Amino acid sequence: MMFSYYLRKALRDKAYVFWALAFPLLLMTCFHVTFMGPAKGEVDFEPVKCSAIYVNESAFTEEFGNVLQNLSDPAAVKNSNMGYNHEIVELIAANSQEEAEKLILDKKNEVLFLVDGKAETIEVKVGDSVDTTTLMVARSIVESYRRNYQIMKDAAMTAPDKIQLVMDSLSDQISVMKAKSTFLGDDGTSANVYAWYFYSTIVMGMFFNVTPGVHTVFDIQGDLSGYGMRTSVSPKKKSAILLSSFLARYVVACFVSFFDLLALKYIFKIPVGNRILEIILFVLIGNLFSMSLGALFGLFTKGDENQRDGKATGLVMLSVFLSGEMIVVLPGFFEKYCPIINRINPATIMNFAFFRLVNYATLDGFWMNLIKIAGATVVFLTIAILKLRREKYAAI
Amino acid sequence: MNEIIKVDGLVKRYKELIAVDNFSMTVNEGEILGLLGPNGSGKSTTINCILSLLEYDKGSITIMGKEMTPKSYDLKSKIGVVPQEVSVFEEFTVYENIDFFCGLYIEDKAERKKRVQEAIDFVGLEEFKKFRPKKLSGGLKRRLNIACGIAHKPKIIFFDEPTVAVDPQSRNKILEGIEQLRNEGATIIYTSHYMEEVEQLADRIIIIDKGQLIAEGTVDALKSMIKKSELIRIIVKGVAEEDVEKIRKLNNVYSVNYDGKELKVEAGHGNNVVEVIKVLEEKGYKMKGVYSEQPTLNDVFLELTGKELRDD
Repeated sequence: MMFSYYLRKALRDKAYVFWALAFPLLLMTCFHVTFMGPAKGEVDFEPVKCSAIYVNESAFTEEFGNVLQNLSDPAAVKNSNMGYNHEIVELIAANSQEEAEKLILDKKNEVLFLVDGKAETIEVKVGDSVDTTTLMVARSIVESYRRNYQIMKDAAMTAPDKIQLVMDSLSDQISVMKAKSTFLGDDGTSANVYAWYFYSTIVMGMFFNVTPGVHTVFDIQGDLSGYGMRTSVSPKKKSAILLSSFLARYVVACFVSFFDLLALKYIFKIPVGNRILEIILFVLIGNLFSMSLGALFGLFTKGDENQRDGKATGLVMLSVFLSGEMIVVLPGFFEKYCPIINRINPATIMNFAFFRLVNYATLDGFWMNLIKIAGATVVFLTIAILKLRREKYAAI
Repeated sequence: MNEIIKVDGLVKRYKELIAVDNFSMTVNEGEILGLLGPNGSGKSTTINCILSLLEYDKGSITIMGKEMTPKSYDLKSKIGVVPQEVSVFEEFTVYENIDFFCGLYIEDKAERKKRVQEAIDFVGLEEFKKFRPKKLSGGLKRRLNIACGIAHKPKIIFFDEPTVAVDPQSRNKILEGIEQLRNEGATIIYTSHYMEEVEQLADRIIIIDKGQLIAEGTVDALKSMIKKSELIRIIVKGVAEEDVEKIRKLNNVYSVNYDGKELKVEAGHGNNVVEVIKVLEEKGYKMKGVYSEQPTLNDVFLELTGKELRDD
């Protein structure tokens, strides 16, 4: 009975439904119109510092070298269709993989391409602190090269002078900052930098679940609300009421997040990858985190329900802003000048986790960030439960 | 009568502040007990201790002969609470709100449905049962607040200032309802700082101030505790000082004020109006009006504590 009523209560909470569901959808619509519609936005960027190490040299390695040379030549870039007046990459000399990796560790280099001419594979290595723009440029170069190499090879076999035309085509492909031209979808896995805005919006929607967290505390605390008083003096066990209230809101929160993700994928055509289980885990933990944070705000801040909710939402907005929701380069800026902000800001951590989940070949970064959030959730929930159990209503 | 609630030597401190100071009281089965005191006197703290919402420092609380603790679920099932603020969910309709709070006590759906309907009928919200609270007037919200606290038919009901900010019509309806609950067998603890309501409703009154019991008894018993029993106001002009002095010297009279237009006489128990009028008539004064006011609970409180009961 209680669960179904709390479920109804959560679904009828207009303010929550607006902020967690409607607002993210509206924001994504705005981003879509701005970045992917007729008024495509453009973001300039610094040339990406990169090195290439070749093994088993072949036409594959040779052509990749030519592509990098072209991309490091401002005149060649200017003459292409990319629309930039500066080079895309800055080549950093390195004689071995070890040397190139050391340069990355020393932050003198950002990307290492390990090109195998025999297997015709390219491995991309980046440092921990690489920003998303750099990563996108590197990934786009590799993806575009893989896609076009066969064409280039065929063109070279029949008419060498067509190489330049193919290069133009390639250049067009690696224009990562022009959203529409490089947006290749799930199969291509080549996301553009604007995807960050969308991913950040998904995280923002999840973070608005601090509000249900605050409300859950007020539902059962006799010193905080009249209905809390009513439930506290009833013969129902406090733990049963807490569980019903929390679970009902959690179910709604997860449902809203999945709905946002479906909209992201099918309406806005933003890739979310194919790792379904990991995405589910991401949603479950992300929502649990924000609700437990809300519960802490409900328990430890001062003011009535709306005031505590306002404080929690304010913190969430700040966190989301710092994660680049409005200014996509902000995390990159912090990474350069104050990386601790990115390490402790929950929205940035969640964004990094989701970005890596969708765009990275390996999931190390995803797990690392998700574990951080899960750890914080466990701590928050433990504190909240202990506080709720020991509450003596001294504030009455 | 059976003691249904017994509070003995209750002490509750908030750091340095003693909110309830060695307070003892009993509530008899089937009575309406008025707990009267100004804001901050310790009424709500006492009630919250009785309900096990608050831990207390000393004393004991028993309900129906059993110690009341946070885990006294059997006792809790017999208690209903009507908080001071309207404590309902804005997202639910009138019916859903009553059903939800009744559901905390009664699992059986059919039984609950019956009780909810009875509560709706009792507070007269039938035509509003599909309304959300925000569409209700202040008085109707108060009635809903009451319905949520009584739908499970508790044996003991705590009303904490249920008529705050309520129009006279709704107030009367609420007070009638509370009397009806008592007539149906419920024991009621009614907390208020509206003395008129407590005077009208309560079988017995406890006056509390600074966490201490100041006085207890029926309305008449409380009024008989104080010196003043009557305030006589007479509209009369030109009373000479010597005649005012004569009135001042009458038996029972202990205070006389005259401003040239109105004579105010405070007197103790006795046939005071007749005595005062007799003095004025003998001197041929023309009286345009004579009023006699009986002491109120505020007078009782004023005389016992030296301050006004109502502080708002």
